[in-house]
Amino acid sequence: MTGEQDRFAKGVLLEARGIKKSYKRGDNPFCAADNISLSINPGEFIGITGRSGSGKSTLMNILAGLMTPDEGEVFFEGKSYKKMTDRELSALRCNGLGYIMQGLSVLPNFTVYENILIPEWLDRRRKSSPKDILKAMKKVGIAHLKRQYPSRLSGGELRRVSIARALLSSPKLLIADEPTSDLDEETAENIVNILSDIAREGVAVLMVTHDREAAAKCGREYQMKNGVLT
Amino acid sequence: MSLRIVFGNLRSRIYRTATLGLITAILAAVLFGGLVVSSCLKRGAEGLAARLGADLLIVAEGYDREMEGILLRGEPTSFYMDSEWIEKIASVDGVASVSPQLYVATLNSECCTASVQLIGYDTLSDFLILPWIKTGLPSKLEEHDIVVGGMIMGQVGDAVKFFNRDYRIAAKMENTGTGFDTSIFMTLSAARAAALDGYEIRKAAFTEMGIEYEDEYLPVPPPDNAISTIAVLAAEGETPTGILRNIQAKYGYNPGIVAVPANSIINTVSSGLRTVTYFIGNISVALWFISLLVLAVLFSAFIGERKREFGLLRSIGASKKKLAGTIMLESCAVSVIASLVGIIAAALIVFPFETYLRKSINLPYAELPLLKAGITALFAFILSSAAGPFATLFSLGKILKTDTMDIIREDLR
Repeated sequence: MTGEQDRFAKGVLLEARGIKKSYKRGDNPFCAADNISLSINPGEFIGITGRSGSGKSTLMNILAGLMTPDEGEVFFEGKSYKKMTDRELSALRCNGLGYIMQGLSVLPNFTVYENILIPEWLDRRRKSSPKDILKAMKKVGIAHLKRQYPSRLSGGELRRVSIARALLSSPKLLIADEPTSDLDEETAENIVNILSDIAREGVAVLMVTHDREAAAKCGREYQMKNGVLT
Repeated sequence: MSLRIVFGNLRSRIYRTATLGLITAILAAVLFGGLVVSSCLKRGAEGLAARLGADLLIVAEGYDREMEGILLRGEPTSFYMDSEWIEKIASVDGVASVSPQLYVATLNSECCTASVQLIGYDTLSDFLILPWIKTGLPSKLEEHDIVVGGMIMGQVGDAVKFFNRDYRIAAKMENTGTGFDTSIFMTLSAARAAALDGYEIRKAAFTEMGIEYEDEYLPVPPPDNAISTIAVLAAEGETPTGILRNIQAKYGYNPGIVAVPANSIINTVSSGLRTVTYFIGNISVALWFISLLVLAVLFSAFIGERKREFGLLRSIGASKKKLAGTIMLESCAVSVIASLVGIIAAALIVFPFETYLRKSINLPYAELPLLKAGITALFAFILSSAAGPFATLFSLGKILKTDTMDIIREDLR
């Protein structure tokens, strides 16, 4: 066993080391992630707060393997993303790492039930039973919306659809990018409670939010400013 | 990649799907229709060359255009020349054999079943008609027996009437793609009798109307032993031009007849055909490229609109390859279905309206055998079906090369 694998055997689920990512805004470079290092253990509920444009979503995309950092490395269960093909990273998102995108994260032309089933369609090896799907829907309180199209759903219900879809694959880590944005206080609290319950069941949850109250419910809280995580 | 995602997307974005489908269907229809018409014209021209079977055609001076009209388009007309020319031409050096024909236009009135071209041919010297008889010709063609062109309605044994005289269909010709397809053939003596009948009927009609007989109004009576044209077969080693020179040498430069080399008629057709097929070919090629461009622009725009959707699919486990596969499959599904629809629509226009097309194009036109039509349809199907996926490749390149989230970021910026 190598030193690195040995380290992960001790329980670290995801580790980011020295992540750097910058863009160009016009002619000026903009640093979205500046030497960020982070490790997440199973069952942890971590919150990251920060203003718009502070680099939170960029960091989430990098941690989910959707974006390649300019520098640094991300490991999931000891395996570097650099050593994984696009197919392997996609399979990871389909099966081990649930990702809830910022904003509308459902396909408007499919029903709630179909939206939850999409990862099953993408990976034929996945075989969730209708019972499993119903269980995931019940867990987030949307079982009654099974046949509805997203256009009929409220913002909070749409977020719950995304969470149910992510839960169906029994992920080890759930990354939620602004799951409470544009929601009223009560609904936002409800969503955070759902994520908190998920973490209690042993799934690591990494949540990005503007909402300080929501972040306060997390076991660990970080702040992001100008690409720096503190 | 799940077909459910593909067909779900196509179904839910019905206007987008219909726009892409319509362009592809038009492309398929034009390609197939154009190819079918070109092939029919080509076959028509080939049929004409084989059909004429003569090296030279002799007509009375001033009637060469009429003869061309009969040969190419089956325009009914009557004209005569002196039968003495049969012997005169036969005696010209380099002529192997001659066969006279008489052209008589029937009337569009009670006396005739239809207005068609009657062609009397000499059954003894004929070398033009017999090779094209499709159904068994009786050993001797009687005066009331006729042979009908391939496009004439009616079967062997049916009765028809021309100039109040009854005839029986004795045989049917194969389609030649020429004016002969709408003509009716009979013995020379039967055609002469028909010409005389026609003259008498016209004369009686004028008299009945109380119009005084004037040469100006009435057609001239057919001369005794009337003929309209003499088909000439050149002897081995002789050319039509050589025979033309020999005719001029023997009978002078203005003998009152015109010798038309058969290849000049074919050349007229070929030149017209070249123009039409060139036009159809260029239109098809231009349309393919225009469609490709329009489809590429549309696909690019539609893919641009769907960046968020692609980002979402990537975030829940779609690899770049799967994403590209979905887009390509969507494009293929629309292209294949639309191409089929386009080809069927074109077939429903081209085949039932063949007679109308034939008249509009004014060139020899021969119908396409089923196998050839099938191959043409397959070719048009492949070309039109390929346009959509080919156009999609431009947009796919960007998705495959770039981080999906970078594309979304560009979109959100």
